[in-house]
Amino acid sequence: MTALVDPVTDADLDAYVDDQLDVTRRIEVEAFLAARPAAAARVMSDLRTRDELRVALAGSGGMARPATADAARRLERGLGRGRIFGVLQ
Amino acid sequence: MLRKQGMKPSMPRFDIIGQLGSLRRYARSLTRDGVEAEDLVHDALVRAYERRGTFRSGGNLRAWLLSIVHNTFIDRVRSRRSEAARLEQAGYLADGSTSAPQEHSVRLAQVREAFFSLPEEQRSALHLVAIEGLSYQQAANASGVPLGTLMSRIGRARAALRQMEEAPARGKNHLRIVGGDS
Repeated sequence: MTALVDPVTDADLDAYVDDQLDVTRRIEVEAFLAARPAAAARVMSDLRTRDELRVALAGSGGMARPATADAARRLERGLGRGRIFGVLQ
Repeated sequence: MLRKQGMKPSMPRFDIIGQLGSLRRYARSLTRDGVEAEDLVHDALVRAYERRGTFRSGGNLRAWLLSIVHNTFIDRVRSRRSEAARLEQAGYLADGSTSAPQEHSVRLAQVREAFFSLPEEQRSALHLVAIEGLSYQQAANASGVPLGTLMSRIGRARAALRQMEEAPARGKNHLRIVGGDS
């Protein structure tokens, strides 16, 4: 069954891997993939690489320095104060 | 009548400490070097403090911070272009030295190395979307490029990683250098 839907492009396949599609478009892409083993294999391979990257890049490398956390806390306080000034203005 | 409200515990909480992991990950992807990444995150937080007025209430705090990390990185590269080559080198050496013994880890190290060998703009785009889970639009905003540019960077990054998949370790033989002892 070939309904008159937007043709599925490479950009759609990337967007599918990146979970950027609304559910309607996901279903269209999945229908497209179900009928095309080569494209489906490519998407699975992209998903695998994406997940592996998430694991491979997960650690922050153990280079943390206290000065960074200090700067983070200062920003937390600064943002909090900023909001209150905003309310008062 | 709002006068006394200021000091009350209703003060909104901005969890920057909780975002440090994300910021460090992104900084590492940009700089490919742990020490450099930590410097970058620190400088970005200082800059974020100076520009805290640009954060809009209800905005996405992480996306805002990631965009500041990005801008800080670009400025650092610009102001120290002569050092770019050195960074490149350091990043490459750091990559090679992290290959782990197990088979699974070998694969992860290959994926990582392939990722680190992507051009900076592709690394950045893929990182923001695939690792940090930003929407294409948020990632485009964070890197200051149009949506279409961001999407084509993602497409090219994926194509390059696929290439690596199909031609494994071709041209990466410098990691396989065998000592001259036999």
